[in-house]
Amino acid sequence: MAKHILITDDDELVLISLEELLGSEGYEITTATHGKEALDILTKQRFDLVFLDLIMPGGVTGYDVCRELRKTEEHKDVPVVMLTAKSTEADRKMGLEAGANHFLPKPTDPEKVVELVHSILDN
Amino acid sequence: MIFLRKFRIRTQLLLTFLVVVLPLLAGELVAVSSFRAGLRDAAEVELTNIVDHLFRLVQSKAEAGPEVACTGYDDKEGVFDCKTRSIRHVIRTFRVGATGYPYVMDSKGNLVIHPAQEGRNIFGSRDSKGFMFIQSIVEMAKKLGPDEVGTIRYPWHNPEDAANVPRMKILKFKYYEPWDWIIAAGSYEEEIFASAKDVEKYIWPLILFSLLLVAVVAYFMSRMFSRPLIAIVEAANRMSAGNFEKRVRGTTGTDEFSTLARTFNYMADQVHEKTEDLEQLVAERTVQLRDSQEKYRSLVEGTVDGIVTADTQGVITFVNRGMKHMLGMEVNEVIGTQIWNFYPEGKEQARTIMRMLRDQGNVANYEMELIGKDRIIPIRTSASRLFDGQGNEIGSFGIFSDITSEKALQEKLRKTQAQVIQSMKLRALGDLVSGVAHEINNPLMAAITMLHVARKKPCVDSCPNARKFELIENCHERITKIVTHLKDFSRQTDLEMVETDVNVPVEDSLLIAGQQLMNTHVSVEKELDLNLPTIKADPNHLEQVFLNIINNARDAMRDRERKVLGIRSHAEELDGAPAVAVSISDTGKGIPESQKEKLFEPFFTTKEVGEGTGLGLSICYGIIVEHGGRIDVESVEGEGTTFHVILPAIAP
Repeated sequence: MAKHILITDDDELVLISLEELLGSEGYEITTATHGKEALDILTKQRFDLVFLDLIMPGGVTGYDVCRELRKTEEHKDVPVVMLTAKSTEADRKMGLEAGANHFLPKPTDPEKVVELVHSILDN
Repeated sequence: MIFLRKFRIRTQLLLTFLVVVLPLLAGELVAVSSFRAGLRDAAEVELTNIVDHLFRLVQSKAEAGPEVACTGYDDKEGVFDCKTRSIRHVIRTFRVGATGYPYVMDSKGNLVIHPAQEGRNIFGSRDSKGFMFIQSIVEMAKKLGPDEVGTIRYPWHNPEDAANVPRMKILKFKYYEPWDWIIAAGSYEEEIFASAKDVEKYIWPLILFSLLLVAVVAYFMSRMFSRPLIAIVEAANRMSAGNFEKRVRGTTGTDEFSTLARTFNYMADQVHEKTEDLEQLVAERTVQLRDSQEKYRSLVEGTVDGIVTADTQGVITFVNRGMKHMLGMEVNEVIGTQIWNFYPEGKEQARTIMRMLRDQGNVANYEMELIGKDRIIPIRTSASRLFDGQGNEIGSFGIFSDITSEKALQEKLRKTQAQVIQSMKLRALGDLVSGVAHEINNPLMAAITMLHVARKKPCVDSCPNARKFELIENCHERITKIVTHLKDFSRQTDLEMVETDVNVPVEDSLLIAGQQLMNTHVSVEKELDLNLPTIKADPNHLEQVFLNIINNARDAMRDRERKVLGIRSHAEELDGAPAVAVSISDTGKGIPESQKEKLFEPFFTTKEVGEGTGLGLSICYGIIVEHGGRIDVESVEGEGTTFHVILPAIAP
């Protein structure tokens, strides 16, 4: 059974490209365009990996989603990769503190993204 | 009358009296003497008349014709003829004065008719001086003319006189020749002058008395007139000596002196009063003046500003302590010199200032420089023209404020302001750039990822899009590079400051750039001071700065034959505080003067499109400013450029 990845990003182009990239690697992809939607989805099902954009419309940021996940029993151990265009050192620190496992700046070489996903899901 | 002024008033009065009295006295004397002469003349005339009368009597008797002459004398002893008898009687009954009498003698001295001694010969008689006066009478008588009467005076001592003193006698005589008679009449002179003597007896004491009286009156009058005057003079003298207490006495009368004394006393009162008022006023004004002077003196001397006055010729007449200190000179080195000696532009500048003074009446807050002993002093001056009480221009005065520290502060402020503006600009730009980068990064991420997915599709036979994909990938790389730079630019203020040895980021940057420098045949001359004080810095950012400058240096030397990169760390000063500096020099073509100012502006670049973003140095500049430091550039066109990065050291 294919591993299930939730990708959250307000930028549809990013969503589509990542869906293409990781879908072609054989993973099942679900997308969300803002934090609230991601949280809604996450209450209904479990995922093997969650991609979170940090700044999204609707007032719920990637940090908020991550913190909520870490509070729940089901999702407290789910791997979270933060992928953001706002990639300062401070953001990175904040992301890791909120419970993220990885922090990737945008743009990141797609091969590195694939490598990271493999390293998380296929070991 | 002017010569009288030489004398005191008392003497003047006495002299005046004498002048009036002396003629009176002289007149009196003349009157007395003429009275005497009159008396004598009258006596003489009387004697003459008697003689003349008797002569005529004798003459008439003789010419009366032949009358029987009486012989013999009438008395017992003598016998007269008849002719002479009546004459004898007449003659003998005559008296002249008290004791005088007429008599007749012949030319032989025989007394023919005489009251007592008829018949006696007196020819040989001598007067009391021994002169034979009868003989002389006879001689004189014979020579007399028909109408003449002879006169003789002689001293005679009458033995019958009680007084044993000869007395002057006067005798008149005439000669009747036919009878050889000498008819004479005599008298003592004193008897003639007896009445005159009586008058003189009163006249002389009267004269003496009147003289005395005049002297006494003159003395008292002069005293009377001069005393009040002298009193006033003395009072005036006392007044002029400053003594106003005493007053002139004798003011109760109605004469002019009393009026004068009253007026004088009134005047003295007035003067005294006015003088006292004046003295009090002077004393008050003196105190006021002294207070005022002291106030102005402390104002003038107490201020740190320089105060200078000069005359109309520009010669300095006064400088206060503040000016002395400002110039660093002694007062005597300044006073008496021309003011324009202290103006850098000399006399011309003085003219400019004078023109402003004339046109505007004063000069306010005029900034210029003065030549002090050891330095040029930037000053701000306010000046005005000086006038005396009559409104004549007597010079000018100026107040000079030393604005050295103000100028320094202004300069510092200007720099700080420039830095603040620059950093605000950078911050605003950073925010913008950050937003733009963020917005670009999303589509860029998508594009890169899409391309990746697309290229992964295996090519059948040939890959016609392979080249295009490659170009798109290049585009992505360039966009990424630009966005990364932009992000760095926007991130420059996020510093993590730690105590740092500046040589560490220098070495790290050289390590990173080393391979590329070698590839482009740049030789590195490194000279690091290992004993530098530490600085508070973000080493990563400093490394970025040095790397950026090294890369620029490398690019600048690309077409040069000699390629030497100098990198030197050394101790420096920054705004008077200890600092460290890293100087990075190249042997490139240098930076034109016109471009130096733009060097640190964002997006300024001389590189080809795609080679540089124009953000490198502005990022460096921002980072160094955030560190409290400075970047200086030295460049000689054709020879090379040196960047000095100066950073404040941590105080030991």
